[in-house]
Amino acid sequence: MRVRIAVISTVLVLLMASVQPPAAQPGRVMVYSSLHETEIAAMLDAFTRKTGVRAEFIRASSGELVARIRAERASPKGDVHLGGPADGHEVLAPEGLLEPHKSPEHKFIGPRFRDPKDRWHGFYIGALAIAVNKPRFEREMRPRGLDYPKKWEDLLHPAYKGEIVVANPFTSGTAMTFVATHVLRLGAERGWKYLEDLDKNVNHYTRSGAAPARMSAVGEFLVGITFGHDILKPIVEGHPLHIVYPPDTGWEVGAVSIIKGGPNTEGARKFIDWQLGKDAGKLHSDISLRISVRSDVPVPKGAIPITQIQLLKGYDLWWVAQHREALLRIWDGRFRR
Amino acid sequence: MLASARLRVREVRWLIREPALMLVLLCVAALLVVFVLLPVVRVLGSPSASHWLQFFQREAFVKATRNSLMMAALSTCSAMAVGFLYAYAIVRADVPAKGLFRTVALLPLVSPPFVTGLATILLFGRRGLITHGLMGMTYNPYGWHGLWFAQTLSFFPIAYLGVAGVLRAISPSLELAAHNLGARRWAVFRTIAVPLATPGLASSALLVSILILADFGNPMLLGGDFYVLATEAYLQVIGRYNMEMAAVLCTVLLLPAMGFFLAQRYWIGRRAYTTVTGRPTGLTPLRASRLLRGVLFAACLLVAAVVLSVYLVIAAGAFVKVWGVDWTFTLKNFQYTLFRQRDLYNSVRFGAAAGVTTAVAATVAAYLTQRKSFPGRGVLDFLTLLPVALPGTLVGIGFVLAFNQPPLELVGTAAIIVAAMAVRTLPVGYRLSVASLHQIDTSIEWASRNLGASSLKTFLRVLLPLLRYAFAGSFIYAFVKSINTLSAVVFLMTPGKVVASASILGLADHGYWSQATALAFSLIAVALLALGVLRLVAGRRVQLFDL
Amino acid sequence: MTSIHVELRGLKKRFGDVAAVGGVDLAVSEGSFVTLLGPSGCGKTTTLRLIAGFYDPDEGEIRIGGRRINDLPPDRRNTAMVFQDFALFPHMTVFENIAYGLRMRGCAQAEISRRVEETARQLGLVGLEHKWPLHLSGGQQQRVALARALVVEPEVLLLDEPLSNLDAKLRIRVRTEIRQIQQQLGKTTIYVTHDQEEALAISDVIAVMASGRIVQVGTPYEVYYTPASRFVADFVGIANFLEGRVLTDQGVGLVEAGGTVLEVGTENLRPGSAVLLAIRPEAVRLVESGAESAGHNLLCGRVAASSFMGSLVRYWIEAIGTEWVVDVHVPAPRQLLTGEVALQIPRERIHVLEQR
Repeated sequence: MRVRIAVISTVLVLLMASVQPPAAQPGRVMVYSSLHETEIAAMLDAFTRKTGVRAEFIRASSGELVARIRAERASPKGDVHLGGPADGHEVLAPEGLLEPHKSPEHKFIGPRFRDPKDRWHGFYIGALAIAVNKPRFEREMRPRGLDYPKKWEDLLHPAYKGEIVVANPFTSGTAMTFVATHVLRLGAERGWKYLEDLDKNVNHYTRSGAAPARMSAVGEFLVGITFGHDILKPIVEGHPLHIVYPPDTGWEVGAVSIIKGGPNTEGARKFIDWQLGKDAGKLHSDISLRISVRSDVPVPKGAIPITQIQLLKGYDLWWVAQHREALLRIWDGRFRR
Repeated sequence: MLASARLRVREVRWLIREPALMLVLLCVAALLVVFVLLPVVRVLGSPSASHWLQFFQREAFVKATRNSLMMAALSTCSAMAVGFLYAYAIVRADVPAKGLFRTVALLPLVSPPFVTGLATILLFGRRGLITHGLMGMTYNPYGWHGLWFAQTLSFFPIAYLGVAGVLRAISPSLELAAHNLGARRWAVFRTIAVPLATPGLASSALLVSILILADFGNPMLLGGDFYVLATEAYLQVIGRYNMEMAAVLCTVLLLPAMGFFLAQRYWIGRRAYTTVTGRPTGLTPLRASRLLRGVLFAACLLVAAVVLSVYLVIAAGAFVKVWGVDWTFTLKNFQYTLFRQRDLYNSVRFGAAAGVTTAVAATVAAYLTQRKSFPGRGVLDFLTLLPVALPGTLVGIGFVLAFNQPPLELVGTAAIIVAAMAVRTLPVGYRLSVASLHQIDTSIEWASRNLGASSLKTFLRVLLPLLRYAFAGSFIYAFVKSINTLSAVVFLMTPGKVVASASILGLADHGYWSQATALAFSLIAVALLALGVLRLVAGRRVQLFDL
Repeated sequence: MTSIHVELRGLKKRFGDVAAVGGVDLAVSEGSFVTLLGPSGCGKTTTLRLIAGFYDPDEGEIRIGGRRINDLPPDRRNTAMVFQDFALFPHMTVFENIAYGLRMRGCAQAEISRRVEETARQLGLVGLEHKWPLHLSGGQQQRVALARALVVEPEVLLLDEPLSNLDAKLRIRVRTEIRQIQQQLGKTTIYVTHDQEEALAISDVIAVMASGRIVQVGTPYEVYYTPASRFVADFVGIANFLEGRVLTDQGVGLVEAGGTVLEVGTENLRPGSAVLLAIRPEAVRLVESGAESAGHNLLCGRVAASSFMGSLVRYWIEAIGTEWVVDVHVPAPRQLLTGEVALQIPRERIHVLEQR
């Protein structure tokens, strides 16, 4: 009886102890990231192997992270905001939520890929693209005389009704880029008109920016709109996807930044220095098929060099950051079903 | 006046005599106030009038409310219909393979509710195994109809449990008597079973509708652009961190649940503690006609087949490369979910800690309210049961509001996640403890006191050992429910403290179905394992989920 | 004169609107065996629980050994109790049950073993130490409960209807044992029962209770033969009651009842006052009608019914307008009496009650 009580209480004590380690884990870097879970995990593992600093992460879409970092203003819980279009970092900069950092790696990164005040740091670039499920297209669209969409306007064809998925800009940075692309490409009036016309064909707006790629990859939907690298991944995995970079497509500089006042800012600095370095750049590009902003990182196998894509010249991430709230308000008014 | 004051004094005299027990009482009371009452107060108190005005003015919110009500009404009807069919077949019509049917109904109760949603996509989605693979259709599950299906499937077991309890409580002798007086079978059903069961059925239906109203995982996965209050609240938090607006939406969700809870407590249920199991009367109920039994059996078989296919598809999805595209067998899906990520491990340890917390708190609270008299006993009882009425989203948002700033800055710790899990499961654990406490005669305790043991020692050495099965039951129930909970903890997660249920939803949401199913499969396996252990330890002495 | 050990003064306890105990005074002397006897609901068990400390009294005092113990919690009163349902801890073996109180008193393991063994031997529980209570017979369970109470050497032993869960034969054996052990140990004991026969058989002193009060305290003989009220006379044993009026009181009391004059043994009766006579069934002698029937207190009657009960025959007899119960012990081995009979009542066995 006594022995049993002793055993049980020991187990209970151990259990409680395992939940709440006596001291908060010192030295761990808390990473908020909108990259894919598997990618983050691989990156952090490599970081820890290299520097000995441990890191934990939570994944959320970049719009969600922007909201979270703002909400935690009083006592930030995260150290690093990793990934997502730079405008999602830029919006936080004027609010004083980002910690400037001068990295020795900056000399390898072009000035248009980073904040002049060093509050965020670009490490990859990507462009929006259209994913089309090949077998379904050949079966369902080809007989109707359609060819693969080549430009944005091709997606307005009524044949695509209910077959297009794209994300919701409230949660997804990808979708924010998508909305801004058309407003910048066509001007406010025609841009919103385009989005309204497209809306007729959109089945629903997903929470995650990359989800449309997976959905079209398995054929749930015929067409998914997202960043090209998110489409390339399923293609490399063997999914029958056709990828189209339409002319005047929007693009992102994927950025990383330090959250001001986080629990481990020193660790965050180490992380940024490592993340911007060549090795990390190569690792990241290889697993994510994103193209590094560093010229010394080769374009990963299967990816399309950014020079071959006709990017929207007028795309201005600073403008997007400034007009983010206004764009969201308009979108909410018109596209919330 | 004087007499009542003296009564008061006598009520608390034991407290002064036994400071250790008084300390325990104060701890329990403090914990309940902090972790149950405070979050509710914060949710109710934080929105201003302008937030409420917004709620009524913005079409999106009005629409979400309408959607919520419509979904709850539709799914409750269908879940009750299926549940009634199932219960009638098993309890009254005595169909074959009852054990199998019961076990199948257990599955949705011990797995995350959105597993049904996930399986719905895999089975009936646009590339679903059945709709597309077998029937060549392209059915779009995203929207109210897909959600309706998933909710029916997720919640019919709860309807079944309620209805079965009601049916068992109707003595067969009443029906036999009606038969004896010349009523035909259908007339017996119409004039005896239905009227007798109606109050109980209404009560079950209310419970089911409140659970559906508060559910969040399935609308998240399957809703598409069909937003309900719970997902809208989630979006307000996650997308905008507009906690006040989210609090408004949660309050709207709380109202019906609270109404039901209070009605149960003060009108319907003085028998809140007696689980309706029905005494064996020695009479066997009227046997249904062969035809009816056949029809019911077929219906049950269909329901069971659909439920089973949900779980088979989860299992199968976990082991194939890419659902719907590449059916090659693989174990790789488990690699990431089990070995790299700590989500499952987190779920298990948080769930276990929540289990211990719930079991301890429930047992102690039950002991205090049932065996001791002190001022505020009713309040303690009320607070312990209150979480029954709280939607998970409300608990989560309330916790964020209450514990994200000093002096109680707990968000970011594991403890707060455990606390949220424990709060959610406390009422059931408490009821289990109260029920078993009622079976222990007071004289046992007196004997111990009489032989020189203090109240505390008596509790530890006599009551606790006698309550061990209830304790184990509370622990396992809390564990299983906690590892499956989503809405209450999703807002409390920080890096390194992500739980599996949230991961599954995230993975599924991103279209990583294989990893999502692998993780869901592992989570269900853990839950079933826990139930198996309970069965080994306690045998049939503890009936969780009343099966 | 032995000293008073347990004393109750003006003890009151209400439950809601019901006065369970309505002012009980009782003094129990050292080493004596006192029984609280009364019908169910009379407050006897409540009184016992008040002494044990399970309830707090509304008013009044409880003293043990001269010390007021009202404010002591039950675990500090050292008043071991044997419960009606035994209240054995089902999750402990017999040994652990008996040892429980000693453990709570912080005894050393060796002492615990020794004392448990000794008590087990005393109560014939040897060999059962490692069994579970649920596997024992009722009688064995009862002994374990007793052992558990005795082993802690309580200052006062409390027994709450400890025999009511046993069958009739066992009950008689166990009550004798309890009495023997109590006498051996000289333990002050308070015993609660509703069974008058048990109370008579086992007690030094009986306190008869009704409606929350003690109505008579006395030795079993006193309570049986000189009941203080009609209630006591009726509750303890069986009695024939006769209402009457005192005629004279000149050495021999004469009472007129039912048209007959009876001589009674009681002196100092007030002539003219109304009295109630109580006559025990075994006090009446039956004489066959027609036989020699001279003498006092002789009544004529007629047998209405009879019942053979082994060691005695009980007759219901109509006489002077009432129905008498008459017990004839050692009945002659022949036919039961029928028809006309004569009843003779020795005057010293007529008890006069309620003199007004």
